[in-house]
Amino acid sequence: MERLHSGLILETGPFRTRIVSHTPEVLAGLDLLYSDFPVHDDGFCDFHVQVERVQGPRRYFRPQVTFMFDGMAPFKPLPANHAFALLEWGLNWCIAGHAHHYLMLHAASLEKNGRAVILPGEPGAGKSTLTAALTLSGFRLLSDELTLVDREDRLLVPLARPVSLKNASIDVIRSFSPRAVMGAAAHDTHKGTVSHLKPTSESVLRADEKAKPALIIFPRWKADAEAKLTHHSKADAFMHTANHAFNYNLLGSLGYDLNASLIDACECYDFEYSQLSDATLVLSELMQ
Amino acid sequence: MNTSVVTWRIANNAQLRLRYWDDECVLYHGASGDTHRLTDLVGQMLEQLLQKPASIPELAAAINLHEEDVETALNELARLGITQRRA
Repeated sequence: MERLHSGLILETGPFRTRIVSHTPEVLAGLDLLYSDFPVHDDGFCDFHVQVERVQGPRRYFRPQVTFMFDGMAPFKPLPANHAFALLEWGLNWCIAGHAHHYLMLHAASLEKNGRAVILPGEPGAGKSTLTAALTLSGFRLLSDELTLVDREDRLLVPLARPVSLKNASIDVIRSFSPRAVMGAAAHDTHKGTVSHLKPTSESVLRADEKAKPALIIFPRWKADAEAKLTHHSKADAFMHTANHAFNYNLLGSLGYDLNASLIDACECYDFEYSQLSDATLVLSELMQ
Repeated sequence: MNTSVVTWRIANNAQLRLRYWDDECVLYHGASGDTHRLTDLVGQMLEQLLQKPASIPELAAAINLHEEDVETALNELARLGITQRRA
C-alpha cells in the first residue's frame, strides 16, 4: 500500500504508467489482477495517473472517486466502489488518446501457434466474453479492447491487461472455467455490473513478443446457434476496422497503409455461436 | 451535353491510394482524408484517369461499363472532390 501511496510504476505491454492511489479498491484490484505484471519504483513513465477519493462533505454519505491524468480530471467522479473500473477505463483513455505511434483498433486480439486473431465486434456482440473464454482456453491475450499495430513491422503489439466483463458475462465466464480469477464487481456503472478477468501469466510474461495477424473474426452470439464461420468481405472488414479505430483518420495515409497490410495478411470471417465451448474449439482449429 | 467531347480527370492534389480485394476496391482520398468502398470497376476507372484524362465513352470501353453508369460514378466522385471535368 505504501508503494501505491507514493506512486508505483506499472508496466503493461509497451507502456509504463505511474499510479498513485489511496483507495482500497484500487489496491485490491492491482494486487489480484496485476500480480504478474512488472512493477518499477522509478524511471520514465508514459502516463501519470491518480485515482483518489473526492474530498468534501459528500465523502461521508456517498463517497466518490476521481481519475486524474497529469493532475487534471478528464472524467466526472464515480461512486467509490467503481474505483478499479475507473482506473481501467482511465488507462484505456490514456492509451487511446496518446499512443499515436501505433494504429489503434477498437478490437480484442489473441494469439495461438504464432497466428493472431483480431475480434472487432459491435458492442453487445459478445467480443469480451469470447476473448475471456479464449484466454482461458490456451490463447495468449494480446488485448481486450485496444489492438495495437506496429507501424514499422505491422505486427500486433501485446497489451495484455484484465478483460472487462459485463453483467451476465461475468457468471458465464465463472462457469466456463474454474481457473477464471475475477476482480470485485462494480455495480450500477454506466455499463451495468463490471468485473475484470485476470490475464493468464503467459499473456503477461510474453508481453514483448509481437504477433503476426492472420485472422479477423466478427463474432456474434446468437441463442441456440451452432458455431459457424462464414466468409466476410475484406473491403467491409477494412471499412469496419478503420471506422472503429481510435486514430485511423489521424494517421492519414499511414493509417490506410497499415490497415491495408492488416487486411492483406488476414482471412476474414463472420462467426456465429451460442456455446463458448464450441466457439473456442472452432477457433482453436482455425489457428492450426 | 455531348459526353464524347467532355473529358474527365482526377482532381488536383487528390492523392489517391487504391487497394483491391475480391471484386471490391477501397480508395483513400488524401485531399479529404476520407476512405471509400467502391466496386473494382470504379477503381479501375480511377486508375484509367490517373494515367490520363478520358471521355465517358473511352472509360466505358476501357472497363466494360455502360456509359450511363460511368457518368453516374464520375458525377458522384466529382461531388466528393475526387474527379472533375477537364477545364
